[in-house]
Amino acid sequence: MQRVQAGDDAAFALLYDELAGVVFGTVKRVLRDPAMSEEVTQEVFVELWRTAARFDPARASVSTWVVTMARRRAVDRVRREQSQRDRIERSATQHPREADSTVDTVVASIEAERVARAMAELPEEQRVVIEMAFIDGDSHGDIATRLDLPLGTVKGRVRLGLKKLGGKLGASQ
Amino acid sequence: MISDRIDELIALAALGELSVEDQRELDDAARRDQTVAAELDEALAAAAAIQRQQAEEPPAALRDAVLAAITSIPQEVVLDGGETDAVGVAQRPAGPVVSFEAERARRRFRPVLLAAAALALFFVGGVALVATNDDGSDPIAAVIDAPDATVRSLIGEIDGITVIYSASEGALVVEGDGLAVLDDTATYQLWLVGDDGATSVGTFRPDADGTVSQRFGDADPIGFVLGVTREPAGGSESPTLPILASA
Repeated sequence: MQRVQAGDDAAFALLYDELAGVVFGTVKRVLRDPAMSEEVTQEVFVELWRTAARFDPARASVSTWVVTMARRRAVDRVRREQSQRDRIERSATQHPREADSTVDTVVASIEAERVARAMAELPEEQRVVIEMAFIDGDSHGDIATRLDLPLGTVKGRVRLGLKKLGGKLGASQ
Repeated sequence: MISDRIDELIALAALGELSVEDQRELDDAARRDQTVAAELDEALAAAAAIQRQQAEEPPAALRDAVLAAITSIPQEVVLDGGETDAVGVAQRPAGPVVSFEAERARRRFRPVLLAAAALALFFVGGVALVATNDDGSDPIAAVIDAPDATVRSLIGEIDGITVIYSASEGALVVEGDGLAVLDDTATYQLWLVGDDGATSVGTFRPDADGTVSQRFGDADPIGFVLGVTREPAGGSESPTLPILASA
């Protein structure tokens, strides 16, 4: 990352190779649409290149920083698209849970096992909300609608769930 | 002890759903309170750990597109002494990071300024020349519909800004949609950024719906990166980071 911050495009290519799958996967979970996900993935990497100097390794890993960026940009794109399309209809037709592939992926790494274990230990009401947000890629508004919950309750459960996950994941490292 | 409000903002940060105002509030809180910063970092790391399990390789062609794109994108520079901001982000300095190269700008814009001076000779009776073209047509449409019009879509922290330039019209048009509405104390400002510095094209503000359509004369963006910043009302002489969008 230091080389990227210094403008090394060869290092950036290596970073792309390492993170492209995570970025594209994160974006696609939110957007559903593959073509749009490619566009946003490109935007994320251009932003990563442009703002590399802002990255502070004392605060986050590169992948956390980039995944956070990817999620935010995908959500921004959804918000823009909402003014032009009926996203609910699109979601209903293009939103498979892909549960099998998720399971396959989760068991593919040590981190995946730790995450799966920590998720399983969450209270049901928090686990469901966390899965909808970060596996299905739903916004908290979508979650509130689907579960018929107040927005504040959804945000509270997300916060509590992440807090518990953070504690479990941190403690197991 | 973290307030309910900060807890809510941390949840929204992990969800990628903070508004610009919320982001500033959370950044300020994280700077003031290390506990907030630590809780935020932990929440983002947990959310990222889950999302890393959803990796899916994009089409191979995207790699070439990305690597080609960055060749024309300048990197931001953070001045020495920047403090740590939220989300692993070094604090954005308030001052300019792109030097204002006045001499170069004067040389570059001299022909345009001369042309503007000549046009001023026809400025009679307090009627703004940009209101309509000589034939009464819409000056914005004239640029957009010009046969030589070129389009650049700006990308960055804000999206939805497109710049259309026509050399034959000697003008560019900023088109924007879905932009954050600014209060009276702030404005967006468009810059031409070259190797030696940045030159202001002008300021623009979206309407209540977040849309903008504004024509600027006296600016030729060919060979420059276009950048948009948020500035105090009236604009600034040099850009204030971050560059919100560029192309």
